[in-house]
Amino acid sequence: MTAPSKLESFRDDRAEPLFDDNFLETLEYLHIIARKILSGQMKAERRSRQKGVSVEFADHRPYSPGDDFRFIDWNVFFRTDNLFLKLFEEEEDLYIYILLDCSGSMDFGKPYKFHYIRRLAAAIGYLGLAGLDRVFIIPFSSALPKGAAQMLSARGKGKVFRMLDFLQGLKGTGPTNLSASLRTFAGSRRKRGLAIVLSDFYDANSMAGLNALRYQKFEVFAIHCVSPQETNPELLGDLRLHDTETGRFRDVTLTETLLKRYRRTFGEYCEGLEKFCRSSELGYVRCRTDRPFEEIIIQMLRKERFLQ
Amino acid sequence: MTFALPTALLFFGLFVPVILLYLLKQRRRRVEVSTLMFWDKILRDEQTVTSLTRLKKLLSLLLQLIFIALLTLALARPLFSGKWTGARRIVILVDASASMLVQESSGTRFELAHKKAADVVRGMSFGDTAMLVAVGAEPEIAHPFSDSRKDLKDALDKIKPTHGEADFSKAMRLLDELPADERQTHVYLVSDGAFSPVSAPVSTNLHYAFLKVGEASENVGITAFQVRPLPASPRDFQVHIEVANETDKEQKVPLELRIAGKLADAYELTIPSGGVVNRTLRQYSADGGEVEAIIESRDAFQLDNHAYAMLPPPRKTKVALVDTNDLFLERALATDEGVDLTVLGGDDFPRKTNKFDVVVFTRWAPEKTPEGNSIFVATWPSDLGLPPKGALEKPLFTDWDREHPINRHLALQNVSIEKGVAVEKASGFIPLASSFNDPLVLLKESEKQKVLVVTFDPGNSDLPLRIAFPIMIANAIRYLGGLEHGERWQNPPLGSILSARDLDKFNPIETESMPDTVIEPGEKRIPLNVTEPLVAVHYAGFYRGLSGTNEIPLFAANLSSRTESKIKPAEKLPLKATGNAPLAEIKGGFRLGSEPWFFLVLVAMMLSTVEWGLFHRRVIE
Repeated sequence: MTAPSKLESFRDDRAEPLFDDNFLETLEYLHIIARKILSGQMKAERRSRQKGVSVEFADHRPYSPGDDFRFIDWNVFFRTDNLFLKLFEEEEDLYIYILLDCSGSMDFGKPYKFHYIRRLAAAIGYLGLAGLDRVFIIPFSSALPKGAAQMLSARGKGKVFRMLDFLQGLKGTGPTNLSASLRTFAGSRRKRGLAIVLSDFYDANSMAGLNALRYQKFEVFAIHCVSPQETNPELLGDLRLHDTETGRFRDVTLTETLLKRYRRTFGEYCEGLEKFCRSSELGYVRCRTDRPFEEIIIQMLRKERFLQ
Repeated sequence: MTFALPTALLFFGLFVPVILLYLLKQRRRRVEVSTLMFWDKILRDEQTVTSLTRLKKLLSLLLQLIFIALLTLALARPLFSGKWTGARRIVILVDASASMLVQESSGTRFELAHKKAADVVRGMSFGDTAMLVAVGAEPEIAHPFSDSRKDLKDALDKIKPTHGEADFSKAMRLLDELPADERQTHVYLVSDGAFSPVSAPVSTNLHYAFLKVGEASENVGITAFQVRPLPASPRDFQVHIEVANETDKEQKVPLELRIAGKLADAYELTIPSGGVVNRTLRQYSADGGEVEAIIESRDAFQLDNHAYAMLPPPRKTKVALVDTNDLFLERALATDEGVDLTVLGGDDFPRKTNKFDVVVFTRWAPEKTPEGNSIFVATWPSDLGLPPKGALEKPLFTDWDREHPINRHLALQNVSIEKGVAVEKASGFIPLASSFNDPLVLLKESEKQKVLVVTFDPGNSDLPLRIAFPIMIANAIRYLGGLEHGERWQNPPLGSILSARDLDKFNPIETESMPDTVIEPGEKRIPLNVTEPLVAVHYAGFYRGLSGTNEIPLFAANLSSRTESKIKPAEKLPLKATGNAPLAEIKGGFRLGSEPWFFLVLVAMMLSTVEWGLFHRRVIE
């Protein structure tokens, strides 16, 4: 008998332009900042952790028959009468995988969460492209995209606009299956690299997905994106809650007591995720969408030793 | 149970929309969230008992309906039976007698009584009605039965103590006349109880309480004070005073007597403990005026230390003697101090007779009976209705009415009369003295006129040589001239209500105009209504009249009450039962403090709070 009431949404600002001139200026500014922060540490322009042939000494190991004599460290032999081989870090392109959550839960918030996460992805991608690294942008929701056209692979600064166009074309829709998506990604990639997961992590098994990346020797960095409406909802009274991801409804009469309980539960979930990342030596940063995204990038560069 | 505003019960109709709203599915505000993951987790814990939730919802509806019902009933103002609520009918009898002016340490007794009566009014409960009665010489209903504490308090503030006695027996008769009521009647007697116990009605619904005020008990006071001019000498007057000693010791009390504000005499009275002293004092006053008696006694009750009386100035009777050389009569009149005599010849009559109080005709009479008071000696007009029937030879005074004022102090036996006139019996004439069956002195009285006829010539008798003659003449002149008004010398009792005629009686100066204002002892002016002037005598002191700018002394009023001078308060209820059954005393009991609507609103507010709590704990799946 009741007519459906008007849906109150927190996505009113999604119509605003995703990448404008100001955004591009911000990207350039971030690049300068990054260079300053990483100056003296960069070598053409990134080092991988693979051992190989280069001028950069890495370590010694005992000689084994069949090893190349050229890498025997004779100085050590004269001092110890044991043969040791000199190991050098292998120089190669860094692979930066930006795994972008495009589920329905990202289609929410004020400021708009999906805009925010794409801007973050664009900024990280720009820094990668400017550093002559290979940047992959892999959107996912319930699963990974199957075709190559649904993800981006780029190298060099000239691919910036292609990257931006790609990001602009993405849509936040559908349910999340973070763990399955990350497991699929980890199993399908032969080239290891930096895996940056940008998501709200609204998947009870998200930690299993992160573990899958870790086990496959990816350097994992989790960017946990939340909106102010999620951390501190200002809702009271008789409400019908609509899940933007699943489309499910739930009637609830919200009181201050319930809100307190929600905040506590939400906070515990976020802290649990962070604690997991810290204990697993994964990079983690939590960003509220009401904070400027460039602050998040700078924080990542300074504190989290991101891209180092 | 009845309702003061039954139309308010229509608000019960609000049940319908409330129930409809309850039955309709609640329309909720729809709000987007990014995930229900957290809400699911919270609400799973919250909704473990769904039946309890349903019960809460039902309880919420029930509370809302009760809330409406309570407010509707409150608006309708239900009125319950007095039996159920314990409501009372209260009668507050406030003693307004003179003894309530006794000064106690914390104020006068009346001020203390006022506080106690105000406490009773303040303590009225829901359904109680109270009547306020000021008990003076006459019980006055200061406020009829009312449930308005404010009105009762205002009425209480207006009650003032009088200077008279309180007649509680009349107040008890008032209780007897109260209409029947199912509620209990509580009678609060707020008094010092300094009076003899009076009979009080007894019934199962009638309860009494004595709210005693006062502690002081010692007093010396004037309990009687009166003045009167001596009949033989109008300028001399007697003062009668009685002073009572209500203390445990003999008292020596100085007494001052003041006439027209000036000290006339002073005495010292020795009064035994519990006794009285009476004194009759003789004083002289040429002009009359205000007479005061003051005793000096430092007791708690000052009102009875001062007594008042009004002594009217002596007034001469204007008498005309239409004479034919009756020297005996002329001398008798001329020597009377109370007579202003004018001797007229027959030629002057009737031209100058109107301004006289009495005209005496001797041996000559006009043809027609003139207006006004007249005395005819030996002859009288033919139209008087007293036809002569012949001569009366050597009559004797055989009978005379000794009680009549004209015959007062007369000894008429053995008076020798040579000759008289026998008259027919005439209607309207009263024989005051007779010789056997023949009247010698006759009196005819009407409202406008008094006529005295002497049927013999005193010149033909030895009466002028006797002491009875001038007394008889003086008596006759005073009686016909209107000076024999005994009331004139009396003071009206406190508590009396005086009409215009009463005022005129007390007016010592015979002016034609009535006073238009009466000035009370406290200088309060009471304008008189021309048609029916009434003056209540409540205060001791001198009352004066005001006619234009002329001030006229009217009368004095005195407490002069042995009862009121006994100021010792009673220790218990000064009432006695009329029958064998004892008087019931007031006891406590359950009573609602105010009207039920107040409690209904209170309960509604409490329910509203409960409903608020339920709402904030409610979670609907």
